[in-house]
Amino acid sequence: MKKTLLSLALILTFGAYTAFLRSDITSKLHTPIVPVTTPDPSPITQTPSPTPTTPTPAPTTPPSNTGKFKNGTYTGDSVDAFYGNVQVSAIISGGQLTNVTFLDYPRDRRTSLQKSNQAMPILKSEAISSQSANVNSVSGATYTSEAFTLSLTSALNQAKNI
Amino acid sequence: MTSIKKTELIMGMPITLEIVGDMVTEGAFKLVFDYFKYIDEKFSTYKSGSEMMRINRGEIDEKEYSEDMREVLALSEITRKETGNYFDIKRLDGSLDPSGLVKGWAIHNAAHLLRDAGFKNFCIEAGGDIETFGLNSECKVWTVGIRNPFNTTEIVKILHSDNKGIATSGNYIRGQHIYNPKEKMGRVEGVVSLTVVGPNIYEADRFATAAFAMGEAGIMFIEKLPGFEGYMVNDNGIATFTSGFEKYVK
Repeated sequence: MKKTLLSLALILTFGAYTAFLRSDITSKLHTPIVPVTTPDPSPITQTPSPTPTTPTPAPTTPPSNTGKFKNGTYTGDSVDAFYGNVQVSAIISGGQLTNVTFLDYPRDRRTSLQKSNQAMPILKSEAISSQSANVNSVSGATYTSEAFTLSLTSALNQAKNI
Repeated sequence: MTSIKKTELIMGMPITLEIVGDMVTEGAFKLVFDYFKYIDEKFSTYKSGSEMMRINRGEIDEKEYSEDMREVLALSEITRKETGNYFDIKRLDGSLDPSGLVKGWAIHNAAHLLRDAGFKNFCIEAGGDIETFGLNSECKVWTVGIRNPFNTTEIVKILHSDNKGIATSGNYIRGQHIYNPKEKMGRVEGVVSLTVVGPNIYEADRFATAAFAMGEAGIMFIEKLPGFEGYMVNDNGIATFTSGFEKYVK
């Protein structure tokens, strides 16, 4: 884990440096811009995170027990996610969910054409880890994921081996 | 201090209002929820009778637009210019969809209504976007968790919100891509969630929406915005955050 984090930091640093050398897209934005202080690519600070959570996928995908679902492709309901509809199709093979394709998804939040790594030395990074949940409120993009889960659930319901 | 918390489903999402104080009335909740219903009726891109839909069908002359519609369209245009066209309410078919700005704008306006009505301590949350004012029922600064994009029952960060707006743009879906836990650490690209803390929820939401569309470059965009901090999670479960973000971390 440590090694992978370290190598990730190195990759990010190198990416940051190359990104800086090419004039990146953010410098062309028409916003109040605080000048980036220095081109020196010092390493990104890695906040130590002793127990990073193993990210699990948002949808409730079935565990690896075989034969839970019938093989085939199942289309879920189209679910309103306020920014647009979400509709997925679940592909079952060998009794397991092997792939999910999106027939429809909110498109106003456009996928970026620029995928280069723009992390700069002033940014920090860490592996996410679960915190105790005693808070007044929670910020997250709930509706999209819930719509996704609903659509996938309806697709999987059709695939159930009873 | 006592507090009352209520949730209603409006605009296809849960909207939660918590007001702290001894003089909290039913009317305060009605004021806020009625305002969101009004916004839904006006700006919905699903309800065929909404002003937005009528405009998109060419049924209303520009001179006849309501004051709120004019304001939202003007703010959308300003935001488009400020974000180098990453925020754009014009869809491919030429119709307008200002949803990416209306929610934050409406939460901020609802907060103003409450403050004008004399309430000094409250938290409004609509579909994961939050504006807080004053203190919580323990007479402390409001706390806001950032949802784990990979597990919606978990939070990955606890923030202090001192009269701030906190918005998260995310899409656990990026095009045809779906998160694959077997590829952990395998890919660097792919933002799944971007949380922005700003002076109010209108500002935080519109910049979160635009910055999310920028992909990995989005966090740098937030870094360069004075008065804003951000926390970006990519599909490897790695978070990248702005230089001043930690001042909000509990």
